[in-house]
Amino acid sequence: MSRALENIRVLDWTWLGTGPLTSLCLAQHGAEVIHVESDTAHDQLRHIGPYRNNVVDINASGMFEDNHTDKYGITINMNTPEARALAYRLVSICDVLVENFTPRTMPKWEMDYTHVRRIRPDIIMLSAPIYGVTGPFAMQLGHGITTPALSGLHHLTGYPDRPPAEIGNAYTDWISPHFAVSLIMAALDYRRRTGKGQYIDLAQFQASAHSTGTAILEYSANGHEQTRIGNRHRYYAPQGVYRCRGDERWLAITVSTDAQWSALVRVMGSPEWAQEPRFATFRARRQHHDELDRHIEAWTCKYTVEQLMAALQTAGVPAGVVASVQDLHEDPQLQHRRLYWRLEHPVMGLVAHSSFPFIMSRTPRELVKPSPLLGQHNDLVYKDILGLSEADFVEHLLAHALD
Amino acid sequence: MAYILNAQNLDSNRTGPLAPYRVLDLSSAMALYCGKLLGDLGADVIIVEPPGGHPARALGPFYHDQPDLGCSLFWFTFNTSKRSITLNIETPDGQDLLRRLVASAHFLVESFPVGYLNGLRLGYGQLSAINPSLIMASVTPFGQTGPYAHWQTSELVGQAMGGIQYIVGDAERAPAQLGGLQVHLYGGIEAAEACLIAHHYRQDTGEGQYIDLGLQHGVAAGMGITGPHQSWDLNRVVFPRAGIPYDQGPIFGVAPRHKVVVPCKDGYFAMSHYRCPVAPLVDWMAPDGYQHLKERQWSSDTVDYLTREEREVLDPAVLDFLTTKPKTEIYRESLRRRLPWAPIQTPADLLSHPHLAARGFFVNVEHPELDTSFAYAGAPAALSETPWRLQRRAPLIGEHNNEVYIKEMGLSLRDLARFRAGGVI
Repeated sequence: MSRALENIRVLDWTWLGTGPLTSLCLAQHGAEVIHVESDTAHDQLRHIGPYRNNVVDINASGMFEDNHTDKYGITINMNTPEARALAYRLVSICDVLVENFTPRTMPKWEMDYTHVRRIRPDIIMLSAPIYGVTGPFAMQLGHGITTPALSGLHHLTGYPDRPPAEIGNAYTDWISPHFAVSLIMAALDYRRRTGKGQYIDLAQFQASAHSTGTAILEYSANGHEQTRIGNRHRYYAPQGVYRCRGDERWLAITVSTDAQWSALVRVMGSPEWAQEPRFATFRARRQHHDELDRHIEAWTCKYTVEQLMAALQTAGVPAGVVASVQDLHEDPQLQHRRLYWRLEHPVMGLVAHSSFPFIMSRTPRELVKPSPLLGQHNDLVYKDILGLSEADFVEHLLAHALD
Repeated sequence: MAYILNAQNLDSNRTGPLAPYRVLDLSSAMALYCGKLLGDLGADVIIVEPPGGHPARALGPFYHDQPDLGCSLFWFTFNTSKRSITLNIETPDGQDLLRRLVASAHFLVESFPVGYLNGLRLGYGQLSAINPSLIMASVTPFGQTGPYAHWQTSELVGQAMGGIQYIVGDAERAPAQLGGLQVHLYGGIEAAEACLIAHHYRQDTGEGQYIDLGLQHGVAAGMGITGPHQSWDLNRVVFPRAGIPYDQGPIFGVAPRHKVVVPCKDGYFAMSHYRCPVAPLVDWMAPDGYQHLKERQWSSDTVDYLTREEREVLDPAVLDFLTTKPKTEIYRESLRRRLPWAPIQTPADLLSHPHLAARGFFVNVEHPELDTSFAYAGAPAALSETPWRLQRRAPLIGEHNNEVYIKEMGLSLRDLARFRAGGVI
């Protein structure tokens, strides 16, 4: 079966999270993606790990592996005079150029849109720095660890009586790529209809602000500042995360209808406290939420989270385990959906790779190749795809243009 | 030869890269952002509401706290750039009208419980028989098949079962949900990207297809970021939640995990050690009694690669120093000194942010029915040829019934009255 994007070639001049995950989606759907780095400046993911048994190896980083499957990997040293002409030749054969450096890197190499469009007028170029490429803060550094703060999401995360909670993840790196892919695909369609390429200046700051739900309108329309509400719901009750039997085992429960409340009470064995009028309506339950939580947790802590999740879902109550990564790997539903694909990597051995979550009936995503070792596909890309002669290739090697 | 769909009923006021295409939006709250994004990119998005209004109109918060179907800020947020028709798809006439709409649509997005549309004979099999080039996306909590296919979810349960919640939160409390609406956003943006990937293939071949998006997978696929899923896969290590002190080995340099949330004089700042330069940081601190830090020889140029002993000296000093500084000063200095930090911003901070103002991010949208206008989050990106644009405010219930049913589909006023009386429209 063919994949959807087999006639698209992408020059993937990206690093870290947002850029690589954008081109990863295109790669899993069949685009030919060429990831560019340099032995003088690696994609920093190679230095982040995690590594098997904590043995650092730039060709065996778990994060690099997850973000770069099904891509070719080449090296080019933009500090050599020969490299620019070569980079332009690469541009000339690509439909899409993706990059996510701060906006001084590509101009420094004369690889910004003004330059690359001269080489390939109908190219679609997407830049995805934190602040976008223009504006007074454009040169400010940042990454996915701090962008939840910038975008307003971090302020809303945690408990009302405490500082914002630690997030522990470059979380917004999983938001911007979906916008980026959508915009690239829309621009490709526009190009097909008009012959025109274009430049997409995506600010992760802006894309991520869309994750704040209704907070912006509530401020702009009502002057009300939303803040942290822990695990509760502003309108429904009960909602929370409750301790179950075992270490760090937690159950999330949302009750948003009276029928779900009755079902929860039934599954709890219809205890006497639950019949009291102060738990009879949403308003009453919200008013006595602390007490309600204590009652529910006194029940949940006697059982395993798996028991309760199944019992509540069977009774029609949205409830689920607060899943650790071990749970994700062992989850029967995610196994059924094939979240993780096991591919043999030359250094790491058999490793699990995350797949994009949508399953397409005619052109399903497919994970075929593990991520490239540093410069693994120099021969293939420069000679077979770009058409460099052997002599020319060697000359570039000797000039350190391919470092 | 490439197959290119024709523009149909193209609203001349709409602009954007997707202007030739029509989307039927039958989604619940969890996938509404898909139609919004496609609409903001110019597509003609028709949201199909049950008579009486879409259930998401009852979701708070509300304009001036008036719990009225015309005042839901949730509805406003997720339904810009859409038109609205009402239609009862549980009646035979309603199903017939939907089938007629499907014949001229390019995309259909839905998020009913698994099996519901098949039960009405409106599943992909039936609809693609009417329009083989249709792209239909189903967004459900867990996907169309598998042991949890009929389970329910919520914003909280979705974050929990997708794995993100496990690592969010402080040591002293239960894992915390991320604020805002994450699962609701994924339901939209992941469906939109899938639709547009399928559209590329359709433009090559003329063939439509069916997209099955499961939101648990949609959240969990992000757990490769910063390495939790690989730590389990490679080393059988489970990352505890972020507030629990933990040495995560060689990730983000060689140092143990640090606190990102740092109190300052008038709020909180997000401080990252990752690639944070040491020299400009200690230069800034020196005049406030930290000259010794400036004079010290550090083993690395960036904080993330300092030794544990060095971090035990530097970290507490930085925390103390920052508690004496207001947010604006820290932001100004981090910009000047290229420290990769960011203020923990409130919605008010966003609305007054000079960078967002310079980039024209916020869009003021008029609501004539409320006799007011207010600012919406705007373009995720600037597109040079085909700008993202809020085409219109979220529609009123059935606002475009006449436009769609009479002007575009050719129903008579009498048909419409009959359908109204029959509870179809």
